[in-house]
Amino acid sequence: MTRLSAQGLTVRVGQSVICRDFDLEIKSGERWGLLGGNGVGKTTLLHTLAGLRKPVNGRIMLDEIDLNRYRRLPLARKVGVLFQDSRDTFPSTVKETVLTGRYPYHSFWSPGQHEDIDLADTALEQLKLLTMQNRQVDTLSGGERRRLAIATLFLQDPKIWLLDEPTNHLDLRHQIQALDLITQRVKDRDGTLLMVLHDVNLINRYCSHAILMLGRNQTTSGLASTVINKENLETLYQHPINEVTTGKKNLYFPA
Amino acid sequence: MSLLNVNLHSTPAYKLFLLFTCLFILAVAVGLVSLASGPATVSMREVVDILLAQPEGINSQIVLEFRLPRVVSGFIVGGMLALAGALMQVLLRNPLAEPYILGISGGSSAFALLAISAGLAGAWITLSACSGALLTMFMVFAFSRSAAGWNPLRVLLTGVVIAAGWGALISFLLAISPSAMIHGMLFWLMGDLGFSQFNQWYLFLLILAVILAMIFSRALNLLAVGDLQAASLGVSVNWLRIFIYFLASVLTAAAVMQAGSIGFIGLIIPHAVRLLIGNDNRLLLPVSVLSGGILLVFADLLARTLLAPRQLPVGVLTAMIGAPVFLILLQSTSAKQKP
Repeated sequence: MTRLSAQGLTVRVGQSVICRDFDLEIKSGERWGLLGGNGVGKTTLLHTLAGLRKPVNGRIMLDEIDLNRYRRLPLARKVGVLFQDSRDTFPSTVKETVLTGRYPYHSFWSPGQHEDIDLADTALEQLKLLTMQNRQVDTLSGGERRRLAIATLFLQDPKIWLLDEPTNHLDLRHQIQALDLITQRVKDRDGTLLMVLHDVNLINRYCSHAILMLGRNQTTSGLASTVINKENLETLYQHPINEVTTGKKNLYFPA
Repeated sequence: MSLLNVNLHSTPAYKLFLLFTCLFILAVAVGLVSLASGPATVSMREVVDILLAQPEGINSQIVLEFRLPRVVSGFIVGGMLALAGALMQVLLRNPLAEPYILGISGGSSAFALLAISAGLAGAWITLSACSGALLTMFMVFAFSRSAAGWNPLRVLLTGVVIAAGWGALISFLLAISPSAMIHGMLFWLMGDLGFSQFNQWYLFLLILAVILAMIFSRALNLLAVGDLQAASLGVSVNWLRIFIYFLASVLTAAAVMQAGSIGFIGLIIPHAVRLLIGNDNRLLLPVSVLSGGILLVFADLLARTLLAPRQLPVGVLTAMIGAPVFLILLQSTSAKQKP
């Protein structure tokens, strides 16, 4: 079943065009990686697909229904976004923050149901945050915050996961743990995933498909094994790339 | 970490009940003391008797006709300012925001002063002040809209600049007015509960505002984190912001109509409550309303009695009580935060 699709999508920020007549079809069970240089518009494209900003042209369909026909709350139960950064002018505790993920499931005022507390404890446990559940968010390290944002997304429990650099601030071990957890969860819920990553090898490891934003509103997308190659990466990064084959996988690193 | 360490998901209900009971008792106690104090001494017992039985007599008249309206409207004004302040801080995502920051009080004061200069009196001045507040509200709203939507920083800058404009107009009017008019003008600038009449519509407005704010308090928690985060969790961010803007503005205008510009409560009460119970708007908003009411009634009590028969501007007292209390709270939370 097609979970997320875009037809003839044109996205613009100010005067610069991020993509023109972009087509995309993501089926359930697929995991997509989004790769592109700095400032090419990965975040903007992700936000557009999440319905957080309007495209200039084109259609976005979620579960074969036009994105514009969704109301905010049902949309929030269907699509979850992990943002690049978070602010804390008026910080709350880790526990309260993770519970905000339940917002789309309750109308108006809710003091926190027991099942929500259980979900929160499970998610905090999975992301190794349970011991700091009463800490203020502004006292956490960058990596701990990142895991908190992922835990919040677990409580939101969407079908379509749009992640903007989920491994930001995470050390090597936590990168793998977090991505293992996320991909497992997406698989369990028969959901789908689209994530921005700067690490080609992580995309190769976790994604079945990839979108490469090559710059000058050129994109190429398809099976990760076909679109991720030395030639495309060199065009994308404007930098020579070395390719090493180990077993079935190809590894890429800057020359 | 907040000082009382309460939250809605793990604090037992009786503790929250206790918190609100304490605030209610404090409110009633401050109210009763206020009713008993003044040039004519009335004992606390007598105050209670008067409130319950409403007998004939001079003391009864003093309590019911002079002091009660002042105490009740003091509580309402304090609650309105504290609520408006807490809402503005979330709306502008700025801890320094307060009800007057967007020029509502400046606009109404400037218009009130214009009316006084024009020789108008009574209800005409109030009407003029009201139109000044409304004009400012719509001006800030109109000027701060841009193609990119409603950006808190743009709203803040627009409001601060419009407030500065009103400030200049006020200084100009004060400079050219004959000294006989200055005293009446100062009421609008310093704030005073002496002329405020109890009006049940203000009470109705405050109750309605608290109910509306509570309904949207969960969404406000998300708005404080960030617009995109809130939107992706299902909040209609643009509508919520417009709604909160008008709610806070109307509350501010109503407070200024009743008592002029009483400073400090709208800034300090929400922050003191944040230090005490944290940033969850579901608790912050109602606790702020009660605390704001209590502080203003108490400050007004001191303003009337400290240097009696002379009356002090109540805004001076709110700052004199609020500033040290706030600093003590700030110190004790930072002490608690150390491991």
